[in-house]
Amino acid sequence: MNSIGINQKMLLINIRLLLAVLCLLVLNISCKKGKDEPLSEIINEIPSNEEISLKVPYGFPYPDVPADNKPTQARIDLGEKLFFDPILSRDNSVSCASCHLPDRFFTDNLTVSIGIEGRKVERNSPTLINVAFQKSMFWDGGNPTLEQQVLAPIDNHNEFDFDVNEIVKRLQKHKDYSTLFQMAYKQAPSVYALVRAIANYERTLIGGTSKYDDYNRTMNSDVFSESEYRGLSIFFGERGECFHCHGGFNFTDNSFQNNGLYLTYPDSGRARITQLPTDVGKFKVPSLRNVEMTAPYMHDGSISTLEEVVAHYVGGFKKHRNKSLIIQKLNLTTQEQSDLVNFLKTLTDKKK
Amino acid sequence: MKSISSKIILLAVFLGVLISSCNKKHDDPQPVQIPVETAKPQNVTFKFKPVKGDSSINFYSTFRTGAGVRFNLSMYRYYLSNIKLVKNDGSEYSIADKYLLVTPNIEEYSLGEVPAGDYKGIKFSVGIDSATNHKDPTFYPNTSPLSIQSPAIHWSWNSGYIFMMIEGTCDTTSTGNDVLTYGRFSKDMFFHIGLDKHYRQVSLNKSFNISSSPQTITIMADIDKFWTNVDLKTENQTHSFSNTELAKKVADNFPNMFTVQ
Repeated sequence: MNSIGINQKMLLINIRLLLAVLCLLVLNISCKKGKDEPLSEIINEIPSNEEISLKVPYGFPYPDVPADNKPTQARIDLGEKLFFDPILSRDNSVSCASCHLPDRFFTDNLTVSIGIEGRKVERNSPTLINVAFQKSMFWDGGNPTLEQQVLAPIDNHNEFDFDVNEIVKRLQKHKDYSTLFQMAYKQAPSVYALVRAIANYERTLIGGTSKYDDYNRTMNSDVFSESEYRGLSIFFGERGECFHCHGGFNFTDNSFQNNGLYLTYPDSGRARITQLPTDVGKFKVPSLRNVEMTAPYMHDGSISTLEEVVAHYVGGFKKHRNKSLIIQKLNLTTQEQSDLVNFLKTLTDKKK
Repeated sequence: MKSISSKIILLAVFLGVLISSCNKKHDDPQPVQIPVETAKPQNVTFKFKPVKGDSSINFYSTFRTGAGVRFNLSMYRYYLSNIKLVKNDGSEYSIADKYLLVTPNIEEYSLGEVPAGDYKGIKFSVGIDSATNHKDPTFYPNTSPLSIQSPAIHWSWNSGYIFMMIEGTCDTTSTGNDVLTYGRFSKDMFFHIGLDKHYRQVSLNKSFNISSSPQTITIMADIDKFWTNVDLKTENQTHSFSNTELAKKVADNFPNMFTVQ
């Protein structure tokens, strides 16, 4: 009995010792996670800087990727961190994700977006899903690449109202970013790497998981309801002729069109870039993918619902002198209008 | 005998060398030796002075336009490129890939080495050539004037550089009695001139000789000339895409606002 007692005591002491050692180990590990430690020692898996392939769904082309900004896991991770970091705005209050919310299909569902200090941005924030396939940036196409685009919200007075060189200084002082920039672009935080990292992340935001994509892949029309399928015929047929501008895998031809929203445009749109009177009131034809989830609509968010958008084309448009000739009064019954709306809702990606 | 004959041979060789070198000096037309001092290219430096008429600009004072409108300046920056020095024979020496961002904070801009010779003029353009204007500005190291500056002098909403950026405030009251508050008049004034169509060439007459020492050429940019035919009272803001007529008017004034000392 005694011996058993001693054995039990020994066991207890052993367990205590073991616990103590474990405690010390945990302490030691948590010490290592201290704020001043470089990030590379904390993270278990260092993201690879080998070029990877973007996941492109059926029917989509592979996006154009600049030679100096091929996708790598390290770059995507860095870009994602920056995308959500308000360090980019003057008062550290607003990040890219403030107007492009992942939960809201990378829009904000506001008429026009809100920047620092509650300032109103001039235009409606577009979704970033499939932005990799855009031929030019902004509603007026004034910026040529996803990389250069990053500069615009930074120095816009109503958005981040900041100076990109000041952001770089902040990033250089930050405890993590120097390591992350080294891993991704082999350099200290710089304007060059900052804009590339964010663009690299944004190119991974590719959709293509909608009911329409299921149909396109299988050619099985059973995926649609009766109404959705009638809507598809209107969209691609002579009843609606929507596909002329909203055609192709991304439901846009990337052109600039005046759709008769106003007789007088407070925002001259494409003309601000080209200075041509014939471009007044022209805006980029938006992709219709996820259109159900990206209300409100138009460059200024002036139309709230898809039903109202369809009503606009049924006869609500104004006869501005630059109005696209393709836009003619649609002769659709109430049922056909709701069929069209139901079809548009099949372009919504399944949430991951 | 042996030693005498070898001495004669040596003498003959010596004379031969002398004669052949004489021949070279007088008859061989190939390498014309120019004194080193005049042949050597020299460093040329541009010095820029923002002026108002005959006087230099003090950024802490207020001025009046010819029409009497009071104003002050807080920014006076512009890009110069496509620099060429015109030789007396009319040929031009181009300073390749030189882009200058002229700001009041920096007076002197080195153009590098320029071949010796007699020159009669200077040409340059205000702004950035179209090809460079639309390149990605994030490619440049931050030492380059074409990198994104603080404050920025590049548009990201319509990708391209602002060729000339003049900012300040002005007195637009009808009686001209606006009160300066913290050094500012009530009306913000800005001239942001960009877009390819506003790229302008400037041609200046100036005789100079590049020979034995580095040259500094002083160029004055006259704010009065920038506002030729501009009434600051009503014409005081343009982003080039807005108030396009005013942007064109001041761009057309670029060629006349520069003089060389």
